Amino acid sequence: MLRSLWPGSPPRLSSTIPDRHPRTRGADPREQCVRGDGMAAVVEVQHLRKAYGDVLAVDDLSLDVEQGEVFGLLGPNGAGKTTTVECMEGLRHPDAGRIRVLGLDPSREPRELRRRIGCQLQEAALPDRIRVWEALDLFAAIAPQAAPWRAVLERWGLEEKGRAAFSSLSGGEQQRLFIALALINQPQVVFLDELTQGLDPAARRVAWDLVRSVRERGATVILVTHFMEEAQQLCDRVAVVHRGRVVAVDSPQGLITRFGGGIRVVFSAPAEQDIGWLSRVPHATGVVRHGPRLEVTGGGPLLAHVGAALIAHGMEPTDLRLEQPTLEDVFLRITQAPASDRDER
Amino acid sequence: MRPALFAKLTWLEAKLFLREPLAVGFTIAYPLVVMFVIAGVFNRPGEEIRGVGGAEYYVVSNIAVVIAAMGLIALPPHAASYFERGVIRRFRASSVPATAVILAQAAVCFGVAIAATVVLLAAARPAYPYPVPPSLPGVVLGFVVGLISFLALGLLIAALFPTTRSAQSVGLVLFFPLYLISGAAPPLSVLPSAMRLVADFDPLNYAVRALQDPWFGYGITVSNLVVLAAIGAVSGVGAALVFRHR
Repeated sequence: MLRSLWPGSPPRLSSTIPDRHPRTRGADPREQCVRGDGMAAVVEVQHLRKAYGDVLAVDDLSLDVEQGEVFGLLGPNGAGKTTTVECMEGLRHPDAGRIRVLGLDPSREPRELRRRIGCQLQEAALPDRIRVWEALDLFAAIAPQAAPWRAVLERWGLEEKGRAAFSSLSGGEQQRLFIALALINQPQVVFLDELTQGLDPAARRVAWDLVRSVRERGATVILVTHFMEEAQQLCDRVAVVHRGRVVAVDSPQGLITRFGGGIRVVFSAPAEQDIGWLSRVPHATGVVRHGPRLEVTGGGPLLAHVGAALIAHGMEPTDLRLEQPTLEDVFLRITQAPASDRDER
Repeated sequence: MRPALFAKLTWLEAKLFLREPLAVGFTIAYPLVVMFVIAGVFNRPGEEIRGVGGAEYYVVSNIAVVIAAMGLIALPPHAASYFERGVIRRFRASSVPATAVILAQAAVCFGVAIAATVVLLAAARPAYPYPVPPSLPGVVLGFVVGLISFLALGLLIAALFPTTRSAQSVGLVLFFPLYLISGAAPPLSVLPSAMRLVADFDPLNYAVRALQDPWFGYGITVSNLVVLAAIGAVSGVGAALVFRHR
């Protein structure tokens, strides 16, 4: 407790926040729910539950999103991600549980909330014949603090499409327009639900850059995805959602370290070379040889130790590299593991 | 919602309406063409329907066709498509309530119906010089009550048939039979008695008479207005209840 009063106290172990995570971006302290550990939670969800008829979409889901981070909700289709986000946006009313976004209750104060959040929805559209500039103009008129639509048009690379009808836009252009609309009121929290659904790889890269620039402007981003690479590229922290619950929360790297089942250092060496000393390298747990290919399994700073040992033994392989488990491996392990193996919250 | 924002939304909806060929064709061009054809056919000296010449009868009656086309053909698929495709969700997520969007659509339909009626009357005047109605306020009242009633009916269709296709089909399927026995096509006096019995349940029949009575010198018939108002109120409340549950 004493340590947590120290301004520079390290983040809690249960949810490691990477150092690049900006924590102090200009938030009005009155608006934030400052928790005991000094971190400002922009979004708080406690014991959220929502059923559609007999189908339980969200079952006792809890999470906190902190100021300025890109927070991912990762899970398979039907895990309850979109329902959770829609409850945060005030588009659905929870059956039970407590939600605060910027200190506001989305069900009770939707107007005040929506002034300060931006939403890109999974299933939404604009009228077919609306022109791009008309949509931006209308949505800018909704928010008093909005950026002028001509500037927004340029910023999102849509200036040549200003007079184009919504239905004539490509998937990538429609998605860019929706992101522009979500950001036009200069929101403090941005919800992006399946941002890159239906985009080709090039458009996906562009969308990722857009998310990074949103974060750099100081907004908190909540990103719903079932796409591992996206979570790994963009998110400071990821909540793995499975069957309506959060089953793990950590940075993507933290999840990989905790649940990935170890790393492998791989290189090539002539078959006749004596490599008995390799298994004694610190952090190594095993050595396997497949012809010229050597694999050292282990954890922690294994690569550095293997590298140092190789130099010490006069070996300089040109293909020395680290092979990590991917977030996908982690995800499959977590969602297929029995309940007792998970860190339930 | 701020009035300026509602005005902007309504202006945008007006532009969208005018970009919709089916809506424009059915509410502006179709009544005009039908009026010219039927008024031309029945423009015979000495023959009267409800005490007026055939041409005058059909010029006036086709104002009701504008009303019916607006409520049954133009509005339902447009409103339903906003729910079906997620346009309403998109607006709601930015603090524009569904009610505001739907009311903006209805306001546009109201305005376009007035414009279509002005076009109809102006175009008919040189060919069929009809007299100015003896009770202009009565005609305006009949027009307004009939139009609001049919717009409410259109919203009820959109509420009950929430896909563009189904709302459009239902609207079209209702439009033609209701039109044929409303008195705006063959006059009621030539309908067989069984058909006339059915016509008593045709809302459009009441809209036609709410326009004809004050125009042809029979004064304002309160029962027509009451029936239309009742249909409008029931439809409007029904639509609001269904929309609220979405």
